[in-house]
Amino acid sequence: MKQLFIAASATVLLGSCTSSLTTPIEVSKEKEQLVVNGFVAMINQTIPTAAVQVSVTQKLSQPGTPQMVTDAFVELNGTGFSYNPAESLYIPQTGINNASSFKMNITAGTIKASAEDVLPAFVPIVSATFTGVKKLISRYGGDTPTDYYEIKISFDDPSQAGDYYQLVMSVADSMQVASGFLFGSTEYDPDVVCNDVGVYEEQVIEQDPFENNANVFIPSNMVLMSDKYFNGQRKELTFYVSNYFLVGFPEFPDTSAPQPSEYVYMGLHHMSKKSFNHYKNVKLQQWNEGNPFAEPTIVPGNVSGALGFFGCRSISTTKLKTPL
Amino acid sequence: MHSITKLPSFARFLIISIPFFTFSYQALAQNITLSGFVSDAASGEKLIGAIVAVPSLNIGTATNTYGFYSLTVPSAEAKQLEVNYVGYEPKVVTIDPVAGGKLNIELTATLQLKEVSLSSSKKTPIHERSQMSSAEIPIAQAKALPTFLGEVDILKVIQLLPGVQAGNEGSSNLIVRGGSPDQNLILLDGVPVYNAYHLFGFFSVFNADALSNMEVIKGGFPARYGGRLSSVIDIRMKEGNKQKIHAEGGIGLLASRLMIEGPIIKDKISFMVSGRRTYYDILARPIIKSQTDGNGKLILNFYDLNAKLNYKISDNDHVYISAYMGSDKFGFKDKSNGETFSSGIKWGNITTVARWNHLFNNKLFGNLTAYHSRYQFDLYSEYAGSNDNFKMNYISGIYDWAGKYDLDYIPNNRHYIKAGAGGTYHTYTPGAMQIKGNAIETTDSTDKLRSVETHVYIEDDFLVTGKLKVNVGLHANSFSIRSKNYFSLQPRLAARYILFERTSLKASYAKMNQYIHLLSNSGVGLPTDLWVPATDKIRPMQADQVALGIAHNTRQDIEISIEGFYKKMNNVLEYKNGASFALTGTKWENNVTQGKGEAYGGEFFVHKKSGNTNGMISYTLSWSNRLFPDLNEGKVFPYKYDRRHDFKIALVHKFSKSIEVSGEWIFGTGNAMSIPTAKYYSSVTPNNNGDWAYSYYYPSRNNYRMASYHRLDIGAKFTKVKAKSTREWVLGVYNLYNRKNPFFIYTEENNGATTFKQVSLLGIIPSISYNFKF
Repeated sequence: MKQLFIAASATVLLGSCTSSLTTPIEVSKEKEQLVVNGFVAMINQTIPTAAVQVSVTQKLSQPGTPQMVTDAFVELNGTGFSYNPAESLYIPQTGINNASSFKMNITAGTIKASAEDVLPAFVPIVSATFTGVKKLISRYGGDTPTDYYEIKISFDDPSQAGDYYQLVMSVADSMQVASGFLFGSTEYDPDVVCNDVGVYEEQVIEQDPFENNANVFIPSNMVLMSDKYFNGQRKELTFYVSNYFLVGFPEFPDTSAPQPSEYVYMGLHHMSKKSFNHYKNVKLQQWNEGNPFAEPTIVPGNVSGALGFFGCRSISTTKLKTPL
Repeated sequence: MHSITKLPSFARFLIISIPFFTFSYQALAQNITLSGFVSDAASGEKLIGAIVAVPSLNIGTATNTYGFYSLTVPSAEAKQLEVNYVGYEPKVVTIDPVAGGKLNIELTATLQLKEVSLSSSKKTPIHERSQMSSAEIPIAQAKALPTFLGEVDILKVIQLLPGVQAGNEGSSNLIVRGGSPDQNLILLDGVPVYNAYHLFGFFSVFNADALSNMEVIKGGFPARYGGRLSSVIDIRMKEGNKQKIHAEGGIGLLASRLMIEGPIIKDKISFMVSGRRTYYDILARPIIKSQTDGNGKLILNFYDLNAKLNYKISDNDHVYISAYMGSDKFGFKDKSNGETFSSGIKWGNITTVARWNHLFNNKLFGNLTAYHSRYQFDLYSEYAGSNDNFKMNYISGIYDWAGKYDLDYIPNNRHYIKAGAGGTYHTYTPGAMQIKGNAIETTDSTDKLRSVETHVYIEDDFLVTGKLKVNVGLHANSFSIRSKNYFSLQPRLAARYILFERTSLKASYAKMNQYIHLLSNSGVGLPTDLWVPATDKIRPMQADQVALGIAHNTRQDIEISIEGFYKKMNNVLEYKNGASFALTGTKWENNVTQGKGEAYGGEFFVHKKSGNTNGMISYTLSWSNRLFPDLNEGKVFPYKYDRRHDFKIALVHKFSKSIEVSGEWIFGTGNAMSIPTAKYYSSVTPNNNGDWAYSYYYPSRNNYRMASYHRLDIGAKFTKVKAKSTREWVLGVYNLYNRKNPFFIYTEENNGATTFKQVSLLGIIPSISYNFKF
């Protein structure tokens, strides 16, 4: 009897040990919230353009994309907006007047939301030139160096501290073509790449952010930066653009691969610190998605009464003819 | 950093008052001073904290960490000296009023431990000590509790105290009064141990068989301690039996251990050597081989070795040399088709220390210590083929060389003065990558960071009146790294006031500084966590803690204490938003941010030490929050180990001399963590043309509470004492009712929908082990 009891106990205990230790849990019962995003962009000191998007949050357990709100009332500095279904955006019914700051008001059902931002000063691109071709090892491996085109861009940072920029480059006017830039040398630095484009403000510890991250591959067509290390000075940035992004992949004309481009387009966006922090964290969160060891990234917003972000940008654009 | 000019009155008070009080009592005439060592009669082991008293005069003292005592008594009135120590027969010694002087006392252990205590078995009643927020845990008593996989783990015993909690399920790491795991100063024979955990935190590195004593201090830190914010865990190794060879050991499911101690020259030189090794990988080898076509090999083991040599040069001089070495290996090796691939991680500590005790006279005791401590981890990956080979190592570590001198001066029975000074030379290697192969050989070394840390302190345990006793002190330290020098002046004060016969009111204040940080993404004590120093960019952590409490000792020898505490911390460290667990190397300073923390709460503790049924109950109600300008949009958020309720009960019942059962039940509020609650479009920018940024919405940092943690462990011990040996079977069940406690939560994507899953690590786990002594 004693042996039977011991055997039965051991069987029960050992059987329990093998039971599953992973259980599904429900973490949120929150109701959906209103989300408002918008921008005002002044390109090359012309008439401001603006767009506003109104949507709602979506439960994580639901597939698909968040629902748009199409019947909201939207106005910006007194100008009314109407919903454009083709773009899923609210766009101004008339032109927007120039102003130093902008405030938007949104009413969706019983919810009222608002946000405001100051339009930063225009910072023009002083020069942008192709300065040569270098044979570099591709980030994607291989032993054979390929052609990389060196581009130098410069601008004058205003004297006051705390200027924030986003520099966008692409080989299509729409600036939506995924591209890649290589800064500096041929080496690939996993530490920096792991942090993507959003952290250059703090990444840099010396005088020049790009000289000290000289071996950085930017897996994106834009970089974010502050003037922390070049406040009030003329800043010259050097990029290396792979030959492939200029000549494209004509052998695959029907795919989404880059096609030959006549120009390289550049845009220097001057923005507020809040815009910089917001966009930096958006990019960081995207980069870290699926990484269980990454610290959580909370994306800050600035819309009162809703989630989302509204920001103003002064943009300087230029284009360079591809030297092919 | 604190300027000395901020506390002129306090410093002046300290400097002026101590000599004054010292002088005033030295002036008393016709006194004799008795001094000596209290030790175990059978082994010669010094007894720490034994009470030496003259009951007729109501005066007494306790032995220090080397078993030394000094007691000054009026020669005319002193008749008998009584010596007490838990687990030993009390001893009464007649005082020779003429001879006085040295009096070494040996106590005999009771044949059967009549009182089995779980913790906090203070030799001085709780209400009489000026020290608060502390517990002294005899190792033998820690062994009475249920064990995890048959391994006695003293750090898990500490987790039963109020105000102390485990970080994660099964983990041995300690969260003390809202602090982080790196804020605990864990000392082994006075030497800091940087990574005190085996097997990713499931076991501590301390082999209980090799230890003699352990004290935990959570607040009201005496001035002799410094360098960490939240706790001091002072662990002492056995000295080695001076009389005869003695051995004890055990065989468990996870590991086996053996300790041997004995005299080299009787009463003169003794030794103690102990070792422990796990064999999980050996047991698992057949399973792994079967799943890898016989080519795979799991490497998962740890070992630790302790050794100590004790040399009594004369009655006035003792030399101790002790060492600890422990290492873990976790990896996998695959050998097939002439190719070998291995990958894994190795980590471990080595500490060596030499100490020289010198008794200058019967009132002045000195101890010189020199030590070296090393912690290193090595993440490796190796490939060897017929034509090619490759080896990568990522190495990180911390190396200390240190020396210090401590003095105990007991001018009279009202003062116990401790003073000392020391310095440590630290070398930090936050990360160094080495790659070797046929075609490549590179070393990407992080610059080694070297620093010098010095300290000086003085404290006085001062019996002001019969009711009021204070421990007042000052700890000053400095830290130099690169071109930056930090200096800190840290006042300490602890006081008790006897309210009633067995009840006292206690209060304490302590300022602490910490010049070392642990960078951790996980908080589970992974060896890849990096120890990094304060630098010119990263400021040292600093804390102020106040505590107030009532201590009561009942006539039935039940200790009851209620304490409230408030701790304010500055310059605590966290990874920045979105920083990823990575071998950050030189970039670590740029990936962290500093902020403030605060922790406050109340602790309730009942401890029954005597009788066949004994145990303890502890409850803590606490809050621990953080505030970082760069995190959570600058708003306050709960610390990940913020635990509102923490309740523990542990009981031991002795049915007979040979059968003892024990059980413990633990309940704690779940850890806080950041979890997204929704997804949304987060940005519309001028050039995204419909490719809108899509983000996860976190309402705030650490917005989600994991499920509460609770579990019940039970154990039974069957002891058989023979003429020359003792054997013991220990049965235990961990997590008896198979509670699926949360270890971590992960997300799973399925057709665009995100679901959360909770992973529990430890279900019900039975264990059996066999222990022996001879």
